[in-house]
Amino acid sequence: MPKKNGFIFVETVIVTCVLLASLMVIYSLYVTSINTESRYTRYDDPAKLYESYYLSKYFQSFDFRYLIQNLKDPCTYTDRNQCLNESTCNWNSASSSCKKSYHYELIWQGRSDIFGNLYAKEAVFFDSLWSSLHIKNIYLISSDVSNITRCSGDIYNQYQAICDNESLMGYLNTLDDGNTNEYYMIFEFESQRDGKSCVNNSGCLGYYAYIKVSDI
Amino acid sequence: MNKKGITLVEIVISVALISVVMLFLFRLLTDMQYERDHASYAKSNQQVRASIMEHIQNDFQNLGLQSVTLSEDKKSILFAFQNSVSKTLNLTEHSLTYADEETWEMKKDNDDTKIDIGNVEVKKYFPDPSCNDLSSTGNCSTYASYHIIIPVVTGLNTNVIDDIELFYIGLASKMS
Repeated sequence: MPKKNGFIFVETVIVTCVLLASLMVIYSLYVTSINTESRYTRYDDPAKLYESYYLSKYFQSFDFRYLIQNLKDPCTYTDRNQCLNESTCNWNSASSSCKKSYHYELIWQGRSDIFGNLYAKEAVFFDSLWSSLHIKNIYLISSDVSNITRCSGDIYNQYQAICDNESLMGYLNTLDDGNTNEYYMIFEFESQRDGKSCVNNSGCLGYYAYIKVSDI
Repeated sequence: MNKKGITLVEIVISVALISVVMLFLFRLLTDMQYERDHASYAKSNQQVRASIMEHIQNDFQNLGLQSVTLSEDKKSILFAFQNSVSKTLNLTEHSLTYADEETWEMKKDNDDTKIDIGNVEVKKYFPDPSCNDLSSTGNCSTYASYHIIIPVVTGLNTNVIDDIELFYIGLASKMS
């Protein structure tokens, strides 16, 4: 008569462990793949690209060279006045408190100096665009940012950055100053999935588009 | 013959281990369902959506947008361009027709996918008339802007990357 022992407990445990290990590998691959796909749908979306195009033209119609100079300037925008007092502010002579620790020029809502003396006229329009299009930040950078998709936030939590554990700003800082005749504007939009404004960062998603700025 | 069977403790441990496996499986299935509900339509519809926006935005740029008028029933949008050219975008729940030349049928994941005509919006940002007054603190930009949003909904879900958005900034003096 054949032996009819069936599975013993140890065998059940071993099989379950193997299954578990396999599932963990499959699951991690699946999550990575889903996150990458989700990021790509929120990166260079045609609607955001057109918005970015017109916004970049809008900014360029003002004194855009001023922004380029700021980008090249080793002093931070906020420290500039202080730094000018203490040195001529170049990479060699600027004090450590004066030197920039980042490689991009940031445009935020309400930044007035980029309009020069036209800000009083442009402020309301600039603010309306900013709110209506749900812009979070705009960066001007001279490096190639074609790999930027790696750094947009995770689909479930925008602030859980997955670009070598760094945020978008962190990523931009890792780039070298590239060809100084080529500039890129990176537009970072932030809204809820249904397109409404973010409230307390809950359910917020980041959308990204970048435009090459030429003929400066 | 050994007819001891398995003990209660062994059953409990086996069930616990299998539960862990099931937990992962459940999470996987939940994620898949979430993706299906929220992203699949955007991906399958991306080409049609991009084509619509490209076609109209090209006209904005090449012809120079002057004004945008949304009809009362929100089923048509009239675009007036420089040199007295005008084109109309007609909307139904499942299609868009532009200037009687091009019709795009929206791809359907299910019967609930449609253009949310009731929520079509045309936002305009124009300089305030009071800007002639030097002390005005209103919008006194030399630029004006139109932002047109045509929402596309899949069932009860609204996803901004399904929506058809059109945007234009131009000199206010050339727009109305």
